[in-house]
Amino acid sequence: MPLIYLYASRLLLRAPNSLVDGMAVDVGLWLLIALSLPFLFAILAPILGRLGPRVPGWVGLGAGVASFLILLVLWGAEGEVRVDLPWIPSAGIAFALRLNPLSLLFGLIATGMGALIFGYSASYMARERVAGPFYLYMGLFMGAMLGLILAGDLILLFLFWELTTLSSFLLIGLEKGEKRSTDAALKALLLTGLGGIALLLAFLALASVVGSFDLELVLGAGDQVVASGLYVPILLLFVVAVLAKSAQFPFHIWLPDAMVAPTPVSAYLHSAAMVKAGIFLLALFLPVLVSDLWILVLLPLGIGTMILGGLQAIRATDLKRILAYSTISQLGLLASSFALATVLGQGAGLLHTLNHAVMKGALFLVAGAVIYATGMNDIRELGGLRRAMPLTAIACGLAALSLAGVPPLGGFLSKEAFFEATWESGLLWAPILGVIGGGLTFAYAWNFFSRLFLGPRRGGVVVEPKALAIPALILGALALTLGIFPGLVTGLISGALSPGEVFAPSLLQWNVPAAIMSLLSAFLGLLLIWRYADTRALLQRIARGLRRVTPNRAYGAFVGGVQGAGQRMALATQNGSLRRYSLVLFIAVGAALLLPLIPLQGAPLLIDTVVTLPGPASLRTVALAIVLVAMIVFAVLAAVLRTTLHAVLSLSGMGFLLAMAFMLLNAPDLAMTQVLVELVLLVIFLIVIYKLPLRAIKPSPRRRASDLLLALGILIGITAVVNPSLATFDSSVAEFYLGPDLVNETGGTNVVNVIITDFRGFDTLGEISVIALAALALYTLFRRRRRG
Amino acid sequence: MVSVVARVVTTTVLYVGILFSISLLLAGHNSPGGGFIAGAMTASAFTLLYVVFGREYVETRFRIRFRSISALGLAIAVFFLLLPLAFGLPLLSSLIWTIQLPLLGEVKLVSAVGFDVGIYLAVVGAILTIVRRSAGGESLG
Repeated sequence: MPLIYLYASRLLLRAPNSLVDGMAVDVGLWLLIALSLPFLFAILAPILGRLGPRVPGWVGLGAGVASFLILLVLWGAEGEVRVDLPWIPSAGIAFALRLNPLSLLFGLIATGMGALIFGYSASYMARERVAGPFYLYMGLFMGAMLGLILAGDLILLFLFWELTTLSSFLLIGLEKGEKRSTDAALKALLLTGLGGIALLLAFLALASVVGSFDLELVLGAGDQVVASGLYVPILLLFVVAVLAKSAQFPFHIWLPDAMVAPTPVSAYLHSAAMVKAGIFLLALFLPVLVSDLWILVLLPLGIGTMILGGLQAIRATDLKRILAYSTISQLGLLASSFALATVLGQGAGLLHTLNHAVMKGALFLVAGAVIYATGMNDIRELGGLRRAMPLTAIACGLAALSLAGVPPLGGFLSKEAFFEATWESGLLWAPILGVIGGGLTFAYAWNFFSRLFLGPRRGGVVVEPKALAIPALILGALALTLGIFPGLVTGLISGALSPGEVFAPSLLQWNVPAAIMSLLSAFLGLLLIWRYADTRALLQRIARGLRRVTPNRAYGAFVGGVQGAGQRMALATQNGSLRRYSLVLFIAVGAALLLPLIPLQGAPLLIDTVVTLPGPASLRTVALAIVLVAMIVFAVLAAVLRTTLHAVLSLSGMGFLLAMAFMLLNAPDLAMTQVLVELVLLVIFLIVIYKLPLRAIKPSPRRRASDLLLALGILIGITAVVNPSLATFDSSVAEFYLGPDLVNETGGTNVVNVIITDFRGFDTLGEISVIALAALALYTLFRRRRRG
Repeated sequence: MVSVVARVVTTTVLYVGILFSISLLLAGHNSPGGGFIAGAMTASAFTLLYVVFGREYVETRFRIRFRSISALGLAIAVFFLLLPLAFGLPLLSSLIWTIQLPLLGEVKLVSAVGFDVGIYLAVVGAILTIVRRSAGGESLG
């Protein structure tokens, strides 16, 4: 919002005439509005929730649709749109947004899916306790996702990227009390956060090679980047970021656990939008980073994840976990498409991104509707819901067939294009593994649908929640539309490819190798469906056998190790012994005092300066000498006396003597403060002593010796620090404070007080804050102790 | 039991001490004194009161939440720290007003004295919170 304001005011300043003519509302302003709407919704969501449980959902739907339409109309009317606002010009960082075919495609997915899911949430979340924060974080996520897609500056992109991670963390951990939920949130945060750090490093390295954070300059500098010595680290860091965000092996383990979040979160963040951020990055940076190494690193991981995810999806029985593993598998397919780095691969990847968002979104909404209606989430206990939930069944059928890659649905076209791209790659293993992955997808997609809706009826009597079925049905219909009329989006996808390239798959054009691969994968899928239960049992046996070597195991060992180390550290340092604490403090003080002396080789440790007392040898000097000697006596007494009370009294006597010394040295302010502080301290000491054993514990001779050594060290340190400052007393400091303008500028004549309240006012504020905080800390400490 | 003499002396000392501390506070800018000293003075007067009369006696007569006093002091200090901004001057500049009062004649008001009042309250509140809490007070603090 402030940005809109800033932008509008800049426009007013820059072009007053055109505004008067009623002509120019700068198009960039509209882009900012589209980006701001989700954030605005997020801010308002908690207030909207008070108007009614469904209101935030409907308003969120409105915000999503508005953003969607603004992007669409803006593209139709203006084509590419740019916004450039100075942000941190001194560091070369700008608030830059870019609307181009690639960002439009992903932006439409983010806003369109977001809008639908907000509509779905209006009913789904109405009876949830966590609805308030849910809408806040969802709005935040939608804005962050859109910002990440539109960003035209590396730093801006990174910030939005992190914001998606953060909102995902908050959404997974919505149920704060549940350990399952917080563990899953932590896992997602740690793994995707690791990716975020890798991304930042990659971006900084990229910017250092290219010399700018401007995305367009970076994207245009492919040759320079690949030729530079930093290319390999950049690529590897970038790949880690993508794999972590898009849940690829071995970082995929956070996604299945993230399914503890409410279904709308899974449908939106963990299938349609956030996990596509990594894919978006692949599509965006392909022109810069592509090389043989790109294919070598990404393709095996992508295809491997595709197969692994497929096997896990067959093994899983929880509705949402099936879909989570399926998402991992499909993201593997997407990563492999971009890994191939051909026009066909990129086109297939972009089209499949859209198709997957639609069909997986639909399947999640179906799963949510089934869970909502039946209260069950184990696929083995459900079945035959087609009569009870007809609309949901149709939506599920369309989406599942699209996922399985059956014509004439959208998933068929993108999967065919992917098969063709693997065939073109010339690698033998890529099409083979691709077919296997396709077969697995075919099997679990069909099983998901047939098990839930066909066959004999299982599970209790249910009523179909229409408000949940309709959004799913819309997506199901969209999956069909995209299959029959791919031309709706292929123009946009072609625009996102290299200039002049065209990607136009159609149901009417057949590519022989791809068709054969399709048939083979369908055959494999049917084979698996025939022996589905056996396959699942076999996979479960294998998984049990491998349970010691999974990434989850490594993650658990890592987290457990860190926690264990932290615990050991706490036990070692916070053992409750006051003596140990003060020992550590004094050793630190002694070290801080003595260490600076070491480099001063040749300089005398104890400067042989005679500190001259003010004035001639007089009664005052004699008195001062007596006071100082008496202080030494009291100090020795405090160390020697065995009774705590006596020791405290000697210390206190030393303090009063110090006040006397101040008095004799012409420092009345110091003397007065010293007396009062000593008085209060004595009272507090006596109060505390009242509760302590009267006799001090008799320390061992060895301990006394070490204490003496420590005290001597501190003594030498303090003497060494104070003495030189006395020897080289700089009178210009005093002259500065006592200058002729003291009264005129500060209105005071007591220089001590003027220094405290005026010259060093900030220091004083800090000091009184510390005093107040110490009092507060003590207050809470005592209260805790009394309660506990 | 505490002697009668101690009681009588303490009651007197309390009022004299507080009055003296206020004079220290206000005079501090020009002669020995200031927020820190005045705060310590008031706090020790109250501490004496606690020692001589006991907690219950004091608390039925002074229902003061000392930690709130401390917070109030901080707030006042920050206010006078920021006040010069309102006059377009840098933070912590000294604002000096000279006004004429009947009987007293010309009086100079310095914003630093306001800052000192903040210090005074923060110190009083903090010391008495600590004293009360270590003495095991339940209700206030």
